[in-house]
Amino acid sequence: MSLTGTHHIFGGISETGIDHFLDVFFTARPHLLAYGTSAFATNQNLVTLIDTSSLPGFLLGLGALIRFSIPTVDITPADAPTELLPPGADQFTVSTDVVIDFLCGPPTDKPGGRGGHQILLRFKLAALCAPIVLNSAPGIGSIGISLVQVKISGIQDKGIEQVLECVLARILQWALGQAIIPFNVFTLDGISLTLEQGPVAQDDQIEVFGDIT
Amino acid sequence: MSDITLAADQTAVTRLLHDAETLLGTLSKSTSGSFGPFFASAGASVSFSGGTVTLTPPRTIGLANVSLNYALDLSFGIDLSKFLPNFCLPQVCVDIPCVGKVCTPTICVTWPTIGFNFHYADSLRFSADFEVLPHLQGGDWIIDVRILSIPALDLSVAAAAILTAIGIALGAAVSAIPFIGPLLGALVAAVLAAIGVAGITGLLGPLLSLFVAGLTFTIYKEPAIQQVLPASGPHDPVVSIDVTALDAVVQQTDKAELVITASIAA
Amino acid sequence: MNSLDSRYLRLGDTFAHRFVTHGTYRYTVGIPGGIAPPDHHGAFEILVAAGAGTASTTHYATVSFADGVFSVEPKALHIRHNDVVLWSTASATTPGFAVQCTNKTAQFGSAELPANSMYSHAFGSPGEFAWSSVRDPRLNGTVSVTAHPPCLTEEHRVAYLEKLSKASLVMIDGTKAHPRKIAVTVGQTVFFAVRSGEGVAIVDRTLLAATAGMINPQPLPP
Repeated sequence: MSLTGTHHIFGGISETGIDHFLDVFFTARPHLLAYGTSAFATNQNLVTLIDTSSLPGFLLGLGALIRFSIPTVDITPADAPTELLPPGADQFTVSTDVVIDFLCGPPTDKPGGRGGHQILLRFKLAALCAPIVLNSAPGIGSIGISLVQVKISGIQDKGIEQVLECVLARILQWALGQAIIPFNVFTLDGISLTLEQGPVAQDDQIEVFGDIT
Repeated sequence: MSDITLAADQTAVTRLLHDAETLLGTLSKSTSGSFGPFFASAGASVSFSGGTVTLTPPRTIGLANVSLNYALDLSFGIDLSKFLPNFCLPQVCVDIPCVGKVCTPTICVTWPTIGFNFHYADSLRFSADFEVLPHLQGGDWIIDVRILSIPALDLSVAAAAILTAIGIALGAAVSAIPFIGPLLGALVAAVLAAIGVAGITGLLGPLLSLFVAGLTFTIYKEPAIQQVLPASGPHDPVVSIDVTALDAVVQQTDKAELVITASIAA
Repeated sequence: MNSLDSRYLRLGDTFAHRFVTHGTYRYTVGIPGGIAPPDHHGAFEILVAAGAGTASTTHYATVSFADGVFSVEPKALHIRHNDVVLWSTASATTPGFAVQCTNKTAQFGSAELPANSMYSHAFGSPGEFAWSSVRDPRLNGTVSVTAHPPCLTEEHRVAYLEKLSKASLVMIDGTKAHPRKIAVTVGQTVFFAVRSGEGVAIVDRTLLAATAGMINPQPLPP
């Protein structure tokens, strides 16, 4: 079967291609993988500030830092059926490791330490996603990521697991929303693409079909 | 599986090649040499357009009926005395009343050497196979489509038309020379016979072949490091990908396609 | 240029004068309106003996130009009363020239044709040539020159040359030209003979219009 089918242009990015792109993207913009309160967000190039200034005074001094590892993707069909959230038709799964630093109490003057009571959580997260068209303008359009579902593993309490999934889904919705893949990545910037079909997640690729603008 | 796969069918590749022809623009070359019995300098400007594409694995693109659009500028000198017979106005006598018979002497005309410029534009078609050549050059990934061998250029029709046009231009160039009128037809015929179709093809063929030898169209040229997202905000700098490898081949399934594969660095 | 302009004689033109009075005539050859070299005054001469010959004889003087100087061969001519001297050039590179007698009396000159003189012109291009005299435009006429079919064979060429040997004559009496309209083919010669009148200059009217208002207009290059 031809790649272009009934169209004239085919563009596809494989799982490793997406992985490399996400690596480049989040390396350039690391603050999208780290969210923290003021105690942790001293450099906003590295950590997105969670503004707690409007919280009641008795909650001040609590701090948190949520970090994600650079995610990897598995585009349908699933690499393994035992995955946390295997991708279905036209879906892909974004996997990442999550580390949450929770600071209970204000920092002290102890040299080298934050003070207070520090709690560390580590777990795995899978986000089920679908590719979407963000902008279909010929030549300058782009593909984005739509979050379908989030699942974490490693948290024993079901209730806390659901709370964390809810919070992290919000954060990931925003973070993955920044990961825009322009058409010119599919065409290596060499062709101006008019999108006619896709994006489609299939055959371990995100695929687009169209014609030269 | 490659990180990025881009495929274009024959229709798309045809479009890419036509765009590449336009991008190549107009090329110019000049030469000088014999043109029948004359010494001539010749300049030619050439552009390419059109053609139909056939993709053949593993790396061949056939282009049929490409138009080679050319404009010629020729400059040469002709010593008319070599082509026109000696011409003398005969002695003319008249009887003038009250004077008698008066006769003019025989007056011989010396034919000059003229400089002659000639411009001609036309197009011819050729077909040839090209090979797909992806390569990295100076920080850019390039996919060239380069001609595999110099095709035969059929100049016979053009040569005849050029010869006719030279005859017309020569006639116009010498028409103001006194006393040449009745001899003009013989002059043009003699000059064209001296040049001949062989003279035209002998000059034009090698000149136009210079443009076709090594003919290369560039269907892709982009930096290896490509900016994919502009900066947006003080904490969101430019995002660029580094294309570390690129290849282009022709694949045949139910359609022939040019398939470009690339790897990007993590 | 093969211009119809008796003031400037070129290849294909002749000027002739019948000498009706004996004596010695000195003359110059130069560009009309130009400055003659200091030693050029009366460089050439015609000695006319008294007593006419049995028939009028035409004597030929050939003008040439080299190193900026006009010369005439022969420099001196001995002729009889009523003989004709005819000047012409054999070279296309000779600039337009005029013959001018420098005697105080009995003048002759090609730039302003007197009685007993003649100007001939071989027409090199087809066209309609309306001419008039510079001094008196009442003296005018037209020469229609038709193109000749191509000479592609020796027979054509011989027939053409035969045709060229036939002359046409326009007689000028004062302000009258007869015939006023004349038709010839390319290459043929028309003679303009001045029987009476003074200062006649046969000039193509388009040349007169082109040089109108110019001081000392120079001829168009050959």
